[in-house]
Amino acid sequence: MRWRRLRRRPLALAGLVGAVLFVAVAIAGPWVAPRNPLALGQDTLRAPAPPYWFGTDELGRDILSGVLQGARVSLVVGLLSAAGAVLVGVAVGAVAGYKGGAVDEVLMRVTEWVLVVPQFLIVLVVAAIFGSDLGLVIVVLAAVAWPATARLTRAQFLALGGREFVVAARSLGASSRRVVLREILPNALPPIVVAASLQIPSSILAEASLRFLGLSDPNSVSWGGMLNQAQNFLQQAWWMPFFPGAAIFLTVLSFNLAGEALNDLLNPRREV
Amino acid sequence: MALFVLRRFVLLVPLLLGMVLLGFAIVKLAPGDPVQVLVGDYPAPPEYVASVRERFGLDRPAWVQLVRYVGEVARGNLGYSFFYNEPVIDVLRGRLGATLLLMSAAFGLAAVGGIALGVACGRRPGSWTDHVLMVLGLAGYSLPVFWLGQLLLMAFSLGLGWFPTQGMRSLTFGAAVPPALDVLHHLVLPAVTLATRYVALNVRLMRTSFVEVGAMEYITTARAKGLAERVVVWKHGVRNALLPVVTVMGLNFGHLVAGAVLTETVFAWPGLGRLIFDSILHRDYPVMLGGLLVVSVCVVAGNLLADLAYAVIDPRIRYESRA
Repeated sequence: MRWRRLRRRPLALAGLVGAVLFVAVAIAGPWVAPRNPLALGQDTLRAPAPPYWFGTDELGRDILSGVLQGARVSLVVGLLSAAGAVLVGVAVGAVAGYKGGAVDEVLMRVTEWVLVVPQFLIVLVVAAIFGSDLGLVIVVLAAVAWPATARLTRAQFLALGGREFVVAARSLGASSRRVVLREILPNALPPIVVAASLQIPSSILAEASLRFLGLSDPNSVSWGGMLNQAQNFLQQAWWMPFFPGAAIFLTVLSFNLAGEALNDLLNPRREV
Repeated sequence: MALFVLRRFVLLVPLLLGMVLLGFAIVKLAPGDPVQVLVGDYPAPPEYVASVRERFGLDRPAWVQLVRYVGEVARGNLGYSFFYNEPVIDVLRGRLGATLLLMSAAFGLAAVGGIALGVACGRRPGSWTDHVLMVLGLAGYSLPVFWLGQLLLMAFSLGLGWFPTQGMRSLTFGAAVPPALDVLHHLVLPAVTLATRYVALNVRLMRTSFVEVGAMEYITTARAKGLAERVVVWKHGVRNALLPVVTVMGLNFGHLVAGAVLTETVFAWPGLGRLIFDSILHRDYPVMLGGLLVVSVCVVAGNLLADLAYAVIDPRIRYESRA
């Protein structure tokens, strides 16, 4: 029945299709790509035309192949750092909301601090100083992105903590661990899932921003990195920024639409 | 109100201290020896290296260095930039104005554009205007700011030639245009680039909030009293619908800074964000730390302004009573 709601919303459906398409490209990209995206060629700065459907860059590299291959980095960073942020956020929020008191106070002060601090600049500084290795970027992005989930989870725990089924479980002698993990968390989950799905596009954007600023590995292809390179050729080659940027835009848009669709499915009371 | 502002400033201290600690830890953990960078790659006598180390206090334990650094920062001394050969404060001062100009222009655009368009949607939910603007809003929210900048640059500067391609001022001296207009001319594209995401966000927030407020009884009362529709919408509707928008805008200051770094890079805008980024590449740590601090202060100030705006918009909120 809820799926029927979704079918009446073509945009949400488009978002889901786009997100699935993106994952497919990220998995299959390297095999589908017509050329090696790092291979230099004689045909430099070619406008889009067969056999270079998206044109070539100043070193004769095929842009279409780069766009196809770049999806993988975006997907890995987007999924893993969003997952990390949500895990940390849920853990912090659950402990704060369940324990209350001084623990809650301390955790919430820390959360507020991370929320107020200029997060992107910190990520930028860390990536620039310690190298923009993929694993590190994922960890740092997760390290600044968790507070929103933590606040949401805490609010959910505060709201659910006093409800009858929780009190009942506790009076039956359930351990705190069991109450938190088996009673409260499953009921607190729907809005957290929505927040997690919206964390993916914002991680993808943050990663692309780092690469755009030139913090990328020259031996791997990323969309942001391609835009960084394009910055010097805006006058000669519109296709250099256009296609990788469009890939970022469409991916982020798809995930945002899909997140709204998810919100619609999980929180049917809320009408957008 | 004064008490409230004062309390907020006191709360700023732990925040900034945390920022200093974090920056200090990053620099301490960074690979490479700053003394070696200063001395250069030539083989220098070890006594000389040791004397340089001593001169900057780098031979002392880390906590002594930290305490000294915090002490200096508290007195307003952010150190000396090795790259620019100037006190850090002077380096930052030169750039802060440009960033604030860019950010406040974008912020203004986001506030005015977002609220006006949001009201246009919220007055007739489900109408064509509403649908189109909602879709555009979601698109605008998903646009990578640097890509939008590049597209605008290609279309309006390189293509149509309406706007300059980079910088904040023209290089020609004694131009016919007054300097203020010249800066404004340079500002248009970067400001629009930076503002787009927040216009989109505000439209969506304002619409939702306005629709909610529209269902309230006082709106019905206002209409029943026979007030002009203009008064009902702007004085009763918008004013009440603004609160969530103001909160989110305040929380988004930190985000705006990130956007500013990217926008400054696309348009070679001589701002603080770009300076911080360059200082990392130059291993000019005093400028980097100082820049991070100044940006943090700006972000907190932005949050404070949002809180004050609250009280102005909603007379029910009075901060004195809580103090």
